[in-house]
Amino acid sequence: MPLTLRGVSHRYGPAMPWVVRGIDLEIGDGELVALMGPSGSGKTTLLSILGLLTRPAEGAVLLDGEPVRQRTAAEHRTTEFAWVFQTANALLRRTALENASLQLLARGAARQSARVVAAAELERVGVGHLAQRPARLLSGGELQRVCIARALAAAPRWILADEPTGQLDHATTLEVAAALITGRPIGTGVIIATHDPEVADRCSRVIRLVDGAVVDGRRE
Amino acid sequence: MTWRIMALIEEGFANLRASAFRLLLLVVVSAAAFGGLAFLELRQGMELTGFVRDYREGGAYVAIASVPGGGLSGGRCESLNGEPGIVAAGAWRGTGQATFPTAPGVLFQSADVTPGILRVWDTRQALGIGAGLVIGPAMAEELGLRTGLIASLVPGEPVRVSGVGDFTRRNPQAARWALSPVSPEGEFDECWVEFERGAYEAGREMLAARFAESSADPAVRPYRRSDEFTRDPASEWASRPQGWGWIAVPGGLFGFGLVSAWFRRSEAGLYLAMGTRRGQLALMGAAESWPLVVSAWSLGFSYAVACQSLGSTDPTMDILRHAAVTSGSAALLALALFPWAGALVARGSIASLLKDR
Repeated sequence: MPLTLRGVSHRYGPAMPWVVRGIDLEIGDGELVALMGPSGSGKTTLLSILGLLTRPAEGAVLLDGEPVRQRTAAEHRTTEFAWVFQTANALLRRTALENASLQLLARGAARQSARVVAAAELERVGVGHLAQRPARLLSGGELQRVCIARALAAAPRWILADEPTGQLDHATTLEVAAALITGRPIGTGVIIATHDPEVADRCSRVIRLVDGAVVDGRRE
Repeated sequence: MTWRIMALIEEGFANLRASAFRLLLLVVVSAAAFGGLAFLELRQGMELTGFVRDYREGGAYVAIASVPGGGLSGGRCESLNGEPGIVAAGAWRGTGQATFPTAPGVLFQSADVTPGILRVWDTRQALGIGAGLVIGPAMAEELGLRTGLIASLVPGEPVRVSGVGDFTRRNPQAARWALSPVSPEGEFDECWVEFERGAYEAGREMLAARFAESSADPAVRPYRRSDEFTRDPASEWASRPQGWGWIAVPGGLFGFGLVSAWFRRSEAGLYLAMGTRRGQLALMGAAESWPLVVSAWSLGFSYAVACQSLGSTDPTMDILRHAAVTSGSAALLALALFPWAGALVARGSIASLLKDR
């Protein structure tokens, strides 16, 4: 399988409790996966291991059957993944368009072509009219859409979204989820950590975590 | 697939432009640091330059050769002029006392001098050498004499005053002397020699040897004696604390840069999450640092020079060069250090950097 976890466990220090424990998981190309579980169940840690932001204390992450090494993790982060974070991480003093261009630039695109693609994605997620506005002046929902446009513009293999609607009202949650799930490029998978059953319902697969362990990860 | 070099550089510029307050704060702090360093260099450099000039004018490198009871060759003394390391040399001999009809009863010292001694005694070096009487400023004031007037020396013939010398720094006694320039032939009481700074110590030994050939027991003494309290400008300059400023200033600014980068660590986390390498973050940081450091140094240095020029005198080229080298070295080191502030703060877990907002 394209993205595989094999016996992955993680804790944030030798004296700390295990946050995720003994996880074996396979995620295919283009899959829509919801990670669900109560607070503290290890969703964010599992997501950051999947997205190569965190190296697991035990076990291995495999991409297309090959173990990911520390040396090549940055390259994989550029080419395979794009992120949408809960707190809408963005360069707040830069414009929405500049933020939406970032992932493409990191993948080696020329600035002008990155702006053209990013502007189109901003239009598609409904914030095209805010392209020249500094990110710090956008509302939470608008900023989250900019971050989604940033992820979509790069057309990665997987978009990893860590509770992207966690701080939004219900109506905005549905709009943002739609932009992320239905607006994704063909072939791009989405792995989304969420508490919201309505968001999970839009996914083809739900992985449930309790105390750092997968209790249900079947495909429907 | 990764960042293009130009895109990274443009990204650095864009981040710099996007935060005008941060840019202004960093430029002001850096300009103050570079300018302060340059100002300290200029101030101490000018103070020491002034001291060295004053020290030299006070006769620091003047030596006096004499023989007990007199009898020093004037020709040998004058022949020192033009030798390497010698600024001027000349001899004098006392010829008794004289009075003037305009000041009956007041005695003045009269002396014969070789032309070279007027260049040693008169620090302005503006005294014309010619026939006639050269007098000191005190004598000129007491008798109402000035250059071109005729003085009636008793005993002696009336003679024209050819110059009024300023002997206050090198031989204050001569302020009330009437000096008659004569040929260096014959014997004189003393030979005064001014050396260049670097030739002074060796020159004094040479002087004793030179007169030992023709005179018995010549003595050579410094005009101005030095002791443990005498300032040594060279060692003062070498041990100046701000000489290390080229390391201390960028070190301090790097700490400030680290604090600034600390407040932007979630931005660094975002770049890293997108696959940016830490080396690429450093290159982005370098693009941010160049305009900042160059403008800060230019502002700080110009301000320091302006303050020094307004406060006292215009700095000499030599001192300007020292100040530019020290503060410029600090700026270059800051340029080398600044880019690593972001990369240093962005060590450790990317996930935790992203949470730090």
